Amino acid sequence: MSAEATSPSTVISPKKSRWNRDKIYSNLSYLTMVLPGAIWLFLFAYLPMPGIIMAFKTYKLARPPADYWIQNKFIYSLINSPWVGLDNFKYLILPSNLSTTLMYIRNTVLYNLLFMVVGLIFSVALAVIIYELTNQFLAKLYHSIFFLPFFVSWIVVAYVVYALANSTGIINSSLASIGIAPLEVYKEKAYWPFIFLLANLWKYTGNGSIIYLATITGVDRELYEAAAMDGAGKWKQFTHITFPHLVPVIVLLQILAVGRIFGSDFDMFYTLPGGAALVKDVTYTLDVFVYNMLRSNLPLGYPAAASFVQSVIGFILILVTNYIVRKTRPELALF
Amino acid sequence: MSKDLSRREFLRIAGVTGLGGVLAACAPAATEAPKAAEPTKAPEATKAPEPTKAPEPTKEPEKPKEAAVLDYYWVGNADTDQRPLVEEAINSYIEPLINTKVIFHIVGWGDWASKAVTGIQAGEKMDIFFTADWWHYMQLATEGLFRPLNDDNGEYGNLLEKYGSGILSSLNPAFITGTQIDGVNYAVPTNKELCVPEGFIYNVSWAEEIGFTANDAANIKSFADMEPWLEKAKAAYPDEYPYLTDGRVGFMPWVPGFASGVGELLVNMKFAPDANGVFDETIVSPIDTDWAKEHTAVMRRWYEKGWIHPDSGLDTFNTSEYMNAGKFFILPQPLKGNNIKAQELVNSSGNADLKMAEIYGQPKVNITVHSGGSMLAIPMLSEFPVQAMQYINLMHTDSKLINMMLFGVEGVHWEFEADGRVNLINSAWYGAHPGAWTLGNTAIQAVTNKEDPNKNKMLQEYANDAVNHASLGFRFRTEPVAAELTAVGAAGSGVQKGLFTGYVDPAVELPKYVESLKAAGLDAVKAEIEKQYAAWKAAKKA
Amino acid sequence: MDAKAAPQKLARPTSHKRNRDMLAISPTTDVLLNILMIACCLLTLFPLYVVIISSITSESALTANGYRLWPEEFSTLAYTFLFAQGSIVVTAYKNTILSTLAGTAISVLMVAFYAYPLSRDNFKFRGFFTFYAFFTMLFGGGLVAYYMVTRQILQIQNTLWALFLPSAFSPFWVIVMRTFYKANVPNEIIESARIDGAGEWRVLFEIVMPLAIPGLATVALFSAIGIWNNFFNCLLLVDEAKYYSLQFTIYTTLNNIRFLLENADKMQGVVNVGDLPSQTFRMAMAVVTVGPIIFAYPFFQRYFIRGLTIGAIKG
Repeated sequence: MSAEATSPSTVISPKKSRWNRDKIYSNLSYLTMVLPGAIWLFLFAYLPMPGIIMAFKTYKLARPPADYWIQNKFIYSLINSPWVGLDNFKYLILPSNLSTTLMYIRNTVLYNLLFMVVGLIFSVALAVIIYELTNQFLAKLYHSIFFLPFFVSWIVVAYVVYALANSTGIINSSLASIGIAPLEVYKEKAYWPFIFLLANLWKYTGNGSIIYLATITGVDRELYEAAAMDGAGKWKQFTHITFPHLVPVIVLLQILAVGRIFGSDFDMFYTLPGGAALVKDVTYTLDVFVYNMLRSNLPLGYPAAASFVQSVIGFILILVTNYIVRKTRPELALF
Repeated sequence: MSKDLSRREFLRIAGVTGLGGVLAACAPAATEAPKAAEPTKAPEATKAPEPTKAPEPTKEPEKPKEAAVLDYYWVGNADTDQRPLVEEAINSYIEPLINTKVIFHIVGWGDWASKAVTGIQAGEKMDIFFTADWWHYMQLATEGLFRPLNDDNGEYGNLLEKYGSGILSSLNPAFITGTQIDGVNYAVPTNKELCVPEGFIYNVSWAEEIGFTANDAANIKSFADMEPWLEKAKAAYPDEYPYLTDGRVGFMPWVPGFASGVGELLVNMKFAPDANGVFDETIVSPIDTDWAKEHTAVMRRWYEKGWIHPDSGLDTFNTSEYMNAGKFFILPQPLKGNNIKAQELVNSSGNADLKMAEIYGQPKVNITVHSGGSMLAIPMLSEFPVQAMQYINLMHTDSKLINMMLFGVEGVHWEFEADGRVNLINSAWYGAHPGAWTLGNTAIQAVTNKEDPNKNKMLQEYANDAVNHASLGFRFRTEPVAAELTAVGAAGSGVQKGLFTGYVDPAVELPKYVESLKAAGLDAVKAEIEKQYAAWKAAKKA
Repeated sequence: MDAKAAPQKLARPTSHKRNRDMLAISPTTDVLLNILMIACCLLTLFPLYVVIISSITSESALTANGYRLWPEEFSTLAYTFLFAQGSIVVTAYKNTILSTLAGTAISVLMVAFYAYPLSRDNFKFRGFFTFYAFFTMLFGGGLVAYYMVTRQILQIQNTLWALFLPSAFSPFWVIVMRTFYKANVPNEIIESARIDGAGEWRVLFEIVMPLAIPGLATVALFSAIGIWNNFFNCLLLVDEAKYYSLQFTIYTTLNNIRFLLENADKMQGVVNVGDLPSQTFRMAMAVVTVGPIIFAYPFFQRYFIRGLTIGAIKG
């Protein structure tokens, strides 16, 4: 509630008025501000963008003739490769692919929802606790520790999971020493959702909390002081001050996360199970599935088609989510 | 290229295409392009006649003046800071010979697809490109990315005949025909071991412990012959797992790498000829035969007896760690004759106490995948195909060059010992690339002081009494069934390894696996292979 | 109670002094929370402990007994071997540190500049530039096109630029930063500065950016980590060992091993995986790569953890 109150729209009314000189100047300065970023985006994101049409072509590399208007081999070939319509998309909807695809879509969406919800709760909780701890030296120490896993690549995490969970690994050798039968982690589906959730929390909670921590730190303390003077307890301060300040960031991050709901943290899902055959049904996400489909030597258009579909779906989902947000809380919408 | 022009023009495409209407905007951009460009069907390879004559006149006269710089893409571990030294030595040696310099780009195994393959598809300057039958050869050749080398009507003539005489004279002809696609060579095979039968490595110290002699090894002809010995090995080392496997078959009744891009256990034909030397060319799905049922059942039984490590079905399980530590009895491996493979593995293990020997699981038969086990291609758009071929020719004839490529700079990285073998002083360069088998002609290479002085001779002579398989030279083009192959590939991941290491129960999982393969279109793939095989056979007869 | 009264209060400078006692949590809660945090920290550190302990286990003990919490035999051989490679590791460190510093500086400025106008209602092209940035988060031209543009048009391969320029801007952080500006920089302050005659650039530098320090520090931190952890720029754009970054060096080693193990059946046995670095060596590499970046975190941390408040900056 208070977040939007701190940025009341006093400018909204002048906006509707005519252009005045001040406005033109400020727009010019604004334009110079966006310029460096806009150039970067143009060079690194928009220049390669025409590559999208590869999804609709059979790409063949050729050398441009000497009198052709552009001598770049790739651009020439991209333009002159034959169009094949939607041929490159066909493999995605082969009947045999479709049934398994649906299962892997379910995995992807469920894992993403799980990570979004649990991750959000843990990150916000961590941010608030770190903020509230009296001993700030300890708070910093804890947070530094939670931050560490972010630097460990998933391949290394996969070794750790293997070291812990293999048939003679740390867990099973400890169990054996107290006479308990070994856990067959790589053969039992039930373990994997927990392993992924734990791994995800372990790796991302520390750094996920930073953005919330930064937001909380930015809140004016006088608000809390005034609240405390009015007799509001910690919980009430959280629900009435902290949380409303976090809402814009939370909403924004969730909108963006929705756009990636059909994507996944490929390296995690791919490396942690180490290709274990019996748990495939719960460890495969759409990305892993597509990766496995495209391992054999296949036309370039195939992966291009897969990522195009993923982009379009993400795009639509974001637009829809954004539309809903805009209807309910316009100030929180992406655009 | 004129950068200013291209950049400005590019702005135009990107500007139109940039926002929103990607699809809509692209169509005009493409149709706008002058149709005059059409005659350059260059990558259609074999036929590429003369239309791309234009760039040549400007290039030809330059040659005598300045050395051509060849970009040589080579798979390996990673680049090393010793590379500039090696290049300098090589260049000062070859520049007077062929007026050419070389730059090596060593790209990691795992990065090759995203870097080297992407680069060749993007038209990056590349002049020599490592490939192999199991390493993108068919994919890139059929995409028109490799130059035909024996095409009399080619842009530069028949490169192999004109500039590769040393290659042709030293190679076993089975290499040349074995690596052709419809009669065209798209790459120069390395002259190395041609015959690589599947088989097993065994641990000699364990063998001595349980009284397993070389004679016993020679008498092992089946998994049943192996069982009593594994039993003894397990009794002698109850905490270890005697049969170390990642799913390789060993006694392999099928042709390894039969159809490129399709798993060798999915569609294949018999490997060994019958008593009269006749090959059975019936194409089957090995995974859907009694053989698969029996073999996976054997593996499962061994797994349950504790002869196979319980984690063998996982990608994280690394057989070489157990092998290097000598904690195994028998391990399936492809072999090269004369205990060479065993010795190579001992050398690379870093374990001085390790002793290993070999058990052969296949007769000596030359097959496609080994004729093209290591090759060098010249990318279609390379501007120096002649120099590239001259360089490759030198790799087949000039031992000075080849020793520099293999070991580095003499006196800095290595030195000759009295017996002509090589003592490595600094192995940074030697360790960066994959080694001798990727380099021209192994017969003219020196060997390290850890290897048998006659190793290279033995490697090539081993194939002298081998017979050629009926399918030698057959290569499968995947495009007609590309969509089905995606589904087959996805069905196979993980499961097959589990079945062939005993990790999963074949009674339950094998029928499920076969069913999922069929649903994915295995039969369509098989039918296409049959069709292409028949056509290839007919063309060969003609 | 809520923030209805806030705008007036925000406008005037506030004192440094915080009323700790009034806002502090109760001692019992404090102790409980500390216990909870310590428990979580131990859990978090456990996998890292496994990595470190395996990196100092002797290779033979590792294959003989498998992984153990306390190895039977220690060995620092992996580290000795790693640093015996000398110049490669040192060069990689140098490249990574330089590119992280340069990339972070560029990234923070570009993001801060780009995001600010997007947070202003009176920027006429707000919608366009928001979408212009946002669109690139979802759509890309694919690897081949990107390779061609960076190597053949921009030609940044085999330079230090290649290690950070492709990661020196982030639409994601632009959008987050825009929200951060909106939420944390009160409009009144900007308006009053403008009435005083300050130009937009001056407002940005002197008022908006100081107020947004926690947000900018977040962007800086994540850019730094992003560039530090990035191996892909190096993979695609660097062919020469002298420009290798630290993460690429470890990534390519681990990835080669993973690749060779997974594809052993297709490789026809030509490559001996035994040649590749041992398990302990890989773990040692993982330890070394984390290296200095963990010291960067406490540096940024003071901007998130209560050190500075808005009041303190304004005062």
